Amino acid sequence: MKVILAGFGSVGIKVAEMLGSDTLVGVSDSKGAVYDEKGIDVSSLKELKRRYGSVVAYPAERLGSTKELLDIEADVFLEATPTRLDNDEAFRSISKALSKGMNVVTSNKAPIANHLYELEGIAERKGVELLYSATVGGGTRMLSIAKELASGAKIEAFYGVLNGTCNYILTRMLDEDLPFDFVLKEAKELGYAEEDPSYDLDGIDTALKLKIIAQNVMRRSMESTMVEVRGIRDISDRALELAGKEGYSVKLVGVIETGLSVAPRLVPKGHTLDVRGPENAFLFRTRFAGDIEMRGAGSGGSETASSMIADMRYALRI
Amino acid sequence: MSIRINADLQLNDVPGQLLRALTPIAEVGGNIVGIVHERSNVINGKIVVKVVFDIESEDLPIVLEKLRKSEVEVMRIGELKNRKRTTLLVKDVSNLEGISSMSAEGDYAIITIEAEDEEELERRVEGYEFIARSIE
Repeated sequence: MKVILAGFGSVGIKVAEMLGSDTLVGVSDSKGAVYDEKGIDVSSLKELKRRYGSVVAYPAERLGSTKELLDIEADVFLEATPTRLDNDEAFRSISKALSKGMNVVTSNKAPIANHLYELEGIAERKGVELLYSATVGGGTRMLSIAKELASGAKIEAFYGVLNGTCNYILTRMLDEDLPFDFVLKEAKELGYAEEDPSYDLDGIDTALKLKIIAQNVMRRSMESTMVEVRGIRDISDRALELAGKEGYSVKLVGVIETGLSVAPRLVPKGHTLDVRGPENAFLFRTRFAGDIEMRGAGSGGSETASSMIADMRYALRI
Repeated sequence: MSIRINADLQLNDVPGQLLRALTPIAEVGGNIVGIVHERSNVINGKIVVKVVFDIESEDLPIVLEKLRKSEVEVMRIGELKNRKRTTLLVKDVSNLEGISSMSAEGDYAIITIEAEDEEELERRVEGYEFIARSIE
């Protein structure tokens, strides 16, 4: 079995470690790519990345980019680059890999949220798998469970706390009575928030996840998955304190009812969605089986990587 | 218009009295939804029965008159309203339309808005610039 990996950040490194050196033949990051048909030594690759900031320092055949890496033959293409909306490089890589007849497993939300049906079409024509459990809910594999629910119980609405960074910030603001700006800086220092945390704080990350659920689980059309989005930047510690006294937590909640929305919501304390810190929560309102609830680690390198590995094993039936 | 009534009736603790209390409701086509006997609460040979029933609003005075003639004492009566409500965390509470409760502190307030139906509730919610709305 031959595997190619794009992205060698927190998720990509964990995926590579779980894979082992024998199967990983090519790796790329933003600076370039390396290829060795005999397999890439993951621990030395990790050390070189730490020391020199890129995988291209690894002693193997050097290639310019993921695009060139995809010219080699492989069974699976693992796409673990960060979600970006300002370019469609990940979409083009996935599209190329599927067109070449490779199975694709990704944790990148943008290409799935914005091009799912198009990519599914290519995968179907080529008889390969396109799997993306890692895009929503990290290690919970909620998409697979939700799809099974949808086929029997019929999901009529969905409510989810889907962004660990926002939930960490809101929880800490309330617990410690700290202002937003302070907690945000702290979250960056601890690695819970990106240097540019806009995707998280402005609700874009949650909106992309919601679009994936609406399409993958509920089979909504692309046109009907426009999301009304409001983030958490306007919430003050005083507002959270008052909500707390009245028996509510404030959470950034993604909702799928007739339409899709992302907004801060008042959640009664003890409610399924009243999760703490970086945890995720999902509530499915079904026609035949009532409310079904799930909680779990929604982010984190090893949790997300574990979902990618499970997808890969499913694709290869191993 | 059909309304749901919740009434506490005081009856003599002897056989046949409950029928006497319920007959006026049945006679105007009302629907008895539930009955609770407070048997532990007997005062001077009388017991309290709690009755919930649906009835056309214009028939209520007829029922009350019949109960009075039957010597059934109506201790408490009220309409049970299944009103729609939602709670908002707001910064500006200049608009007080439809607010059923409010708790304010500093610049912020938690308000609960009620309305007869979903449409009316959404219209009222639109009148507020809110920070967060409750999950229902």
